[in-house]
Amino acid sequence: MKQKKSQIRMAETVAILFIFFLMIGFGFIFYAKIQRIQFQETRSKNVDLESIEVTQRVSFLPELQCSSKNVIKDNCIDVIKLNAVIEQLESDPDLKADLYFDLFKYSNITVIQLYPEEKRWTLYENIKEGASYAFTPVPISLYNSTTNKYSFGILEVYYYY
Amino acid sequence: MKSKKGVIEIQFNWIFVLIAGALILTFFIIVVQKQKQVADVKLIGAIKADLSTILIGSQVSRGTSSLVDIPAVDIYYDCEGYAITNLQAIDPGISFSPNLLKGYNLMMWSLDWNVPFRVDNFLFITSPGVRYIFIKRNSGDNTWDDFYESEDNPSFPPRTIIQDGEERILFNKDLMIVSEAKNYDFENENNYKIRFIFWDDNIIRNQRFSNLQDIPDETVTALYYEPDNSCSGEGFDCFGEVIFYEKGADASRKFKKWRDDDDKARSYYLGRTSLIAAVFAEDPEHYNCNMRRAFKKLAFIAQVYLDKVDDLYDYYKETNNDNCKLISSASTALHIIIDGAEDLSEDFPHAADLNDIEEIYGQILVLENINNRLQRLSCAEIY
Repeated sequence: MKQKKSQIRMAETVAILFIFFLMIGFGFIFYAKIQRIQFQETRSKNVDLESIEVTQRVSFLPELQCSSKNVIKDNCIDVIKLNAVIEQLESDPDLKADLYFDLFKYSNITVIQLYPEEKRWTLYENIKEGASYAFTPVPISLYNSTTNKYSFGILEVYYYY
Repeated sequence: MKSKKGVIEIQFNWIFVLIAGALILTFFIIVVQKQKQVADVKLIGAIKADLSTILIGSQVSRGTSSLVDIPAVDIYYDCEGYAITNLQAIDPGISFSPNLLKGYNLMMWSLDWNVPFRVDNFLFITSPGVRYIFIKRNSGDNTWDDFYESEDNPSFPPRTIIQDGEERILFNKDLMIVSEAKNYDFENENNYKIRFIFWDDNIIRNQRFSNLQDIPDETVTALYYEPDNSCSGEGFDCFGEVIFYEKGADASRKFKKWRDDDDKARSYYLGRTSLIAAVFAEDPEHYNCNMRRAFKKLAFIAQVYLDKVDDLYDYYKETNNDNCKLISSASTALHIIIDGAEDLSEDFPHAADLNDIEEIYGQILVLENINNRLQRLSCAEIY
């Protein structure tokens, strides 16, 4: 009889421990879920920041910016310099990796002239297959020093992560 | 028999409680430890992300200096970039700094390197805990005037700024006469690094700084600059040599060349921005590796301008604009710059590099002249 009683008491203790660990387990799963959501939010914020960093870097590239007597015009791309840069990068593929990979990593950077006529230049293309991307468009003016005319365009930056 | 069974049962209960208790305690200890690790990684990750944004922001906003508050973490700098603990380094581009940044704020300053067109912005980062002392020969010596603080030319940021209503140290600089520096109580100033900047090598070679003897050797360094003989005036905007020194460990208390090696201690500057870069660089290795990157970028950008010159010349030829055809004379200058910069990007600094630098400097003046003439003739400018 006494043995049975102790067996019941033992079963009770094991059950209490089981429920105790079960509750800790549930708590842990709940906590991990919250942590994951917070991590995703931070990651998303960081990706936005990285995307803006890449956009800032492109916007301030001296090899693209318009200048007069070395005075820089913000948000302006010199079309002749843009063509020259693209030509350089096409003639020497290593140059793209050497000079630009550290700056732009996995991105697709395109300059689009919208007015008076539509034109498109791909400055840098290094797409990560199957990855998500953040998109940042920047309105810019495009300057042609031969005709001394400005046109309106947009700088599109797709940052892959 | 019965009581023996009871004793075993009680003992078993205690053992069971002990094991279960130890298990629960271990579980919580592991959870707390893991949480601490995760929290540290999250904090460092957040600091890294913020620092990266600040660095890029500072790098692109040329000519501005700012004081940025940071958490009290040590930031290590080498040619790979800025690193906190063992996380991947942040590389903001061409940047010059002491090898260790500590404290609660950082001074960030960027300047464009123009040769004569803008090649890149050099980013300078230091801590108010690092002291920069410009040494004058005597009170009448005004060599540093245009370099230390000037409204007309790019010069070092002010010593202090007013931020949130209080005066704070932005750039911990001082201008001292050599006799004053020799007697100054550096030990009690709480600076974790001291960099002396000399223009007179007689002072470095002959003067004893015995007041520095109780300061650790590796925290005291010096830079000596010497413009080329062909340069006029102080030669800040010209080209020349920079020699890195460190505190001598011997009884003489004089400065000795970095690593006691004349070749390793010696390097070159081209223009004011690169001379300022040498002031901020920890040692010649850090300076040279960033200058190699700068010369590589120069070769690329000069090639871009060469293509632009060719395109503009073709256009002027087609439109029979004889006045503006002089743009073609820039081609030779750009070719020389490209060749020189390519050489320098590979093995800078070599003794022969001074010739390349001299040639580039000569072509900078040629290009400036052509660009000014093009502007006067209402032609498209090169840069």
